[in-house]
Formats: sequence, structure tokens, C-alpha cells
Amino acid sequence: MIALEARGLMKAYTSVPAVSDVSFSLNSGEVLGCLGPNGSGKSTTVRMLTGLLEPTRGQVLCGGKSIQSNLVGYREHLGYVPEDTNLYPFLSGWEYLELVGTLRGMGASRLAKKIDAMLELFSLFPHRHSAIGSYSKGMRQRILLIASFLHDPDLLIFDEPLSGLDVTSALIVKNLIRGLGERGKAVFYCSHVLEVVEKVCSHVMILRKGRVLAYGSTADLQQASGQSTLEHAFVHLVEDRDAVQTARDIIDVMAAA
Amino acid sequence: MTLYASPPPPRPWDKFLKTPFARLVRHCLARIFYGGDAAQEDELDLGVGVALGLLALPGVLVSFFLIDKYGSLFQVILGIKDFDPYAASMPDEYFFIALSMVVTASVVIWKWDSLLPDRRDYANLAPLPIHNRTFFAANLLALTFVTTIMSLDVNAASMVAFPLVVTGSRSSFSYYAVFLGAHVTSLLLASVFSFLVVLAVLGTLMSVLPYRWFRKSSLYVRLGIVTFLLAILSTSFAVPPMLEKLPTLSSSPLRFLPPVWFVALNQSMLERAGPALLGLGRTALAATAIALVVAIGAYALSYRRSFIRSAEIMESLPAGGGAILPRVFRLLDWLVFRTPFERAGFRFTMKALARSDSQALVLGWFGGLGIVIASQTLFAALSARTQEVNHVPSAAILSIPLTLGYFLITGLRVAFDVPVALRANWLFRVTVDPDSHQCAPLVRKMMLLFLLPPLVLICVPVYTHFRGWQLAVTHTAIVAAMYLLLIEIFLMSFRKIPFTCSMPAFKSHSIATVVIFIIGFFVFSTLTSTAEQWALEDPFRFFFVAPLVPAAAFAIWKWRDGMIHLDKKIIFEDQLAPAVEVAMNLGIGP
Repeated sequence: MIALEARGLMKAYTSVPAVSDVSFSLNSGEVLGCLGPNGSGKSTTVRMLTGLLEPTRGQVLCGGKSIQSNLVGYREHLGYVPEDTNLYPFLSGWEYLELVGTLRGMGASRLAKKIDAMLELFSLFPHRHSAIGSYSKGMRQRILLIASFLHDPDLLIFDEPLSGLDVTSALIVKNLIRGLGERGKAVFYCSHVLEVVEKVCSHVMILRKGRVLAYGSTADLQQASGQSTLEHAFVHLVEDRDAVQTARDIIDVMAAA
Repeated sequence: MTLYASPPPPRPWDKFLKTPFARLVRHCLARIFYGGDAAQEDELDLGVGVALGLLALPGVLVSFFLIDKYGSLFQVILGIKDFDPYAASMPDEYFFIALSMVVTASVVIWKWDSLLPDRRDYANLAPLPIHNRTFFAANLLALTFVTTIMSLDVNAASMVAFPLVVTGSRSSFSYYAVFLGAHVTSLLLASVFSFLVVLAVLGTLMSVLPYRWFRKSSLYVRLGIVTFLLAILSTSFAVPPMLEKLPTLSSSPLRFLPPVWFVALNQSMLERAGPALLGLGRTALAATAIALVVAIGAYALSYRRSFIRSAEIMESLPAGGGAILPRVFRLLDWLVFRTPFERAGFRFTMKALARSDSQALVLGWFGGLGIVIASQTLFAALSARTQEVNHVPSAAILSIPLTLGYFLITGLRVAFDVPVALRANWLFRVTVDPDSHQCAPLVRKMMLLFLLPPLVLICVPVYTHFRGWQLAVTHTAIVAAMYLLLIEIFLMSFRKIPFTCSMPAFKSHSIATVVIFIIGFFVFSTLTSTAEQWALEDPFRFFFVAPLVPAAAFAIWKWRDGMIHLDKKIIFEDQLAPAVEVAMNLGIGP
């Protein structure tokens, strides 16, 4: 069953389009990885998928209907982890989650139990009453992850969810994403980290300069590009710079008088 | 027998308080009180209770200062038989109204970035299943609540105390009630009007300007409003005597002063207004209604333009990129700032001062206050026309550069203490030698750079034009020496890189700081200028006055020389008192 579909998405802030003609479909139980270098249009695509940004052309469909026709209804089933951890610094972690849960219409007692359990699992329980302003980047990221899980959504959109997480937390989240797919959730996963995408995602979409360069299952993509790993496939498709040579050039500039 | 307490019956509003909308309203209130998108996570936060207390403080103090004036004993001593409290209270009523407007507007200036929804709200709330109109309504309700709370808090003391003080000598309750009603109504309306006008300015700027330009201009707009507010407050001394003549002055410019409208409303309610004041009273009501409509309209427009379209706005904040500034910095490197630390510290300080709202506003407050007091002194001195001895200007005229300098030096000193983005101060922690003692020389040079060029460029030509070059040069030299002395006093125990230390010194003893600030002003400005005038009248007297400056400088030098090494190290966070710190280092402390 198709959970989310993008049809010919295009977004132009100025005369130059940030994203053009992006199309894909995401079924329940699938984890679709979205890869691309900086400025490739990943974040703009994510914003259009969450309804934060209205496409200049094309549409995002959920259950066959445009999400713009009932944005509030669509968001009831959506869990979203944004790229920036721009949280309210004056709220404690617990208060932030309570705010999100209440605004999602969850009952107070169920919400409190769920928040406590989640904070415990994400090793944040001892810090639950500390102000978010004092949290590290990883702690804030974990709060965002919990906020996206609280209402048990059917569709999850993650924009760099591992950013700032320690090794253990990152490992948990990687397994979690795989597990969510196995439980029938549809997951859209945006990342720079190729190894993670390779391990976690069943399908991959590669963006470059706002356009879809490749889209399909991870295995198909590797096969089509004739490369042994996703990293090699990505470099083959996207990068027009010699990474090894650029690194050497940087060292030369560092050492220059 | 066991008694079982029955659960309390549900209150009518309990169900409402549990709804998402009520939670959203509570959240909007919290974000207004604790800061919006542009607020630094570690910036100075007084806490709601302390802030409300400080806002109410001026009303309390002024009410109690007035007890004497309205006391029957005082009237007996002065031989006043037909004392009319209503008539006598008009100047004080004007002052309370002006104070109420200024304090309320100051709150809007202070909370400028958190009154209307911003990008952080968008990032956190837009992905949730909430209608835009729900958040709009919740924030509007929160704003209404804040307006009400602020108006009540700012005026609470004077609403209760002032009518009691004024009508205390009369035993009639109706006399008190009538005065109370008029006083409370005019004060609250003035407060609400002031809040709405500044909110309307904020909303209009947000609606009209692109985000980049809004952020760039909002600091200057706020500084302009601050200066205007200080000017309004300063009219409290000059305007009340003129108000009695207002009915005969049909084209008086006083009619354009908002506090006059609300005094007129007050007098109308006390049935003491003639046709002119009645008209101005109606203006107060009409102006408040117009301000309400414009504020709500601007809020709605800014909500639509800035909040709903947040994701569409890809503009970055302006920061640098000009061609002139680097040249100015290079020139100053060559002339003034010779070490790498001084050069880097100067650039950092200037950029932080220009781009961080809190610090610039602190400096703006002090600068504005200095300008208002200096201009009042100038006008009072020009209108007084005192007789001059030996062509020497009055002490008031001589005090003007001292007044401006005092407020600028104090403003800079306080602003340097207010932290900005403390999480980023690791850069200085890892690169600066804490034993290098470079902070005070850097700050001294920066303060002198702010003060000396304008002093020489303005003071010398102006005084030369009016009093000849000898007096101009002498006066400039005296003022410069006093600036230097004041800077040295302020830097006696200074050991911070501006904006990088976690706790402003004044936060722990703010009341004492305010008292010292006021006394310092009289000593620095009034006393110095009086002594200078006395010396200028007969240059021989300089032999008595002049040695005081080097003597004071020597005392400061000796004091600093006697400081232990630990007290000179650069600090980045609030610390225990040095004595306790030493004891701890020696292993005998707590």
C-alpha cells in the first residue's frame, strides 16, 4: 500500500529551482533513503513532504489524496525529525514532550507514561527536568526523536536523525528505523551517511542539483552503477571532484607559508 | 471511624485547561516571558517574579516619596489652609501616567523578539496537527493576557498607594473612590495604549519589511523608541505646570503628547476639565481604540507574512561583508590596537555590540538617558541666564560632556558584562593566556576610542566658538582627564573579555549598583563641573583642584598593584569571592 507519493515536485525560491521533477513512492513497510550532497535539495524535498512548504508545481499524495487538502489530518499520522534541533531552551525535556503530546491530542495519563518510558529508553530520564538550553546536541536530537514517536505515526520522515548522537544511541536508532519498517511503518530517511543508508534502507533515491539522479532498491542501484558498495555507487553518480586529490590540496594549503 | 474526603468537585475551567488550545495558550505565555527565536539561550534572564517586581518598583517608590506633600502636617507647617488634593495631584498624575507608559513600552522593547510567533515556533509547531488559526488565536489570547498583567503590575503600587496618599487628609470615602476610579482608569488605559502602540510598530515592521531588513532595522527602531520614551519621561518636569494653562492655549504642542491625553481623561473623570481637556480626554479613548485596531491588524498581517511563510523565507541574517569596515579596523590596528589579542578582541567586541540586541539596547538605554539629561540641563541652563564671572560658563553648561561621558562609560561597562552566546566562549578559553592581563588595557582603549574623538571633535569647536580657544582646550583636557579617571575606577578589578563571562557583576547586587550609579553621577557630573567652574573663575584655584586627579589615579594604581595574582586572571564564569577561592586552593576552604 502506497503511504506517500511525490509527483513531479518542483520548488523555486527565485528563478532558479531548488528542486525539480522529484517523483517517488513510498510503501508501508519500506524505508526510503534520500541521499545527496549539500545543496542537492534534500531539505526542500523534506519540507514539501511534511507540508511545511508548498510545491511550486507537482504534489505530495497520502492515501491517494493531496496532503494540502487536509494538512492537519495528514500531520496526525506523521512523525517528523527536522534537521535543526531548534527547540525551546526554557522548557525541560519532559515539558517539551508533554507540549507536543498534548497538542497531538493525547490523553494526559497515557502521555505521561509514554514520555517517562521513552525518556528511560533514550537514557534521558535523569535529565527530564533540566532545561533544554543545557542539553547537548545529542540530547536534543533524542528529544526530537521521542517527539516524533509519541503518537505512534504510520509515516515517519527523518532529516539527519543521527546528527550528534553517540555511538550507542546511533546504533539504537539504526535498529529502530529498520524495526519500524518491519512493523509496517513507512519511513523516509534523509542522510549524508552512506553506510547507514546502505544498512537501514530498502530503497534509495539520490538527488543532485535538485533532480533525482537515481531511484530504486539499494541492490538495484549498486548493480546498475556497477559498483560494489553504495558509497562507490554514490561517488560514481554524484561527485565530480576527486576527493583524494582535494584532500591533498587542503594539506598543501595548510602547510603553505 | 474513618473519614473519607470526597474528591473536590470539578471546576468549570478544569476541562478547558486540559485541551490542546489551553496548553498552546500556556506555551505562548511561556515563550513570551522566556524569549523567542532571537533570544540567546544563556542571555541574562531575571525570572518572571523578579522582573514583575522591578517593574512595579518605581510606582511604589514614587508613591511613598509623595506622602509628605499630601500630609496634613506638612500643609500646617507651610501654612496652607485651602489645600485641594485634586488640583495638587495633577503634576504627579502626569508623572505616573508618563512612567506607566514608559515602563510598559519598555517591556515590549525588552520582549520584542518573543511577542509574535517566529521561526522557532514554526519549526516546532508547524509539523503538528494544529490549524494556523488555532495558533494565531492562542498567541493573541496570550498577548491580551500579557498586556493585562503588565498594565496591572506596572501600576499596581500607584493604583493603591497614590489615591490613599492624595486623599488621606480627607475622611470621605466617596472622595477617595472618585479619585481612585479616575486614577486607575487613566493609568491602565495609558499603559494599554503604550503597549499597543509599540506592538503595532513591531507588527507593522514585520509585515512590511523582508525578514533580513526587519532584523537589521529592529535594533535601531527600538533604540529610537527608547530615546522617545526617555524624552516622554523627562517631560514630567516641564509639562505639568503648563497643563493649567492648556485651556487657553488652543494651538499648544502639548496636545500631541500622549500622556497629556490621559491626564485630560483623568481630569474629565474628576469633573475638573474644561472644553479643551474634555476634547483631549476623548482623544485618549479614540487613540487607544485606534491603537488596538492597528495592533491587531499588524499582528494578523505579520502572522500571515512572517510565520505562515517561514519555510519559504530563505533569507540569511546580514553579517559583515562590507568593504569600509576592514579598512577602518586596519587603520585602528595601526593607530591603537597593537597586540593580536587587542586586535581580535576589538573586532569581536564591536561586532557583538552591533549585532547583539541585548547589549546594544543596554548601551542605547544609557546613551539615551545621557542625551535626555544633558539636553534638559542645557535647556535649563540657557533659560536660567545666570550671571557669569570672567566669561566662565555655568556649571550646568560645563557638565554636559561629563554627563554624556558618564552615561556612555557606564553603559559600555554594563553592556560588556552582559553575556552573549556563552557556548561559543570556548574559543577564548583555548586561545587566550589567562595570566596575560590584557582585558583591562583592551577595554580602556575601546572606551577611550568611543569617548575621545567625539569629545575633541565636538567640544573644542563648540566651546571655542562661544568662549574662546583657551577655555575650550582647558575644559576638554579636564573632561578627558575625568573620563580617564572614571574608566580607571570602572576597570579596577576588571578581568573579563567583553560578553564572554557568565554572570554580570551587577546581577548579584543590583540595588546597591543603582544607588552607586546615581551617587556617582552627581559626583562625576555635578560636583566636577561645579569645581571646574570655581577653578575657571580664578585660575589660581587650579592649584587646589588639579592635584586631585593624579592623586586619585595614584590611589587606583596602588590598589591594583596590591591585588593578588589570582584576582587578575581572566575569568569566564561567575566565581566565588576571591578570599573563599584562595582558601579552597590552600585546602582550608569549604
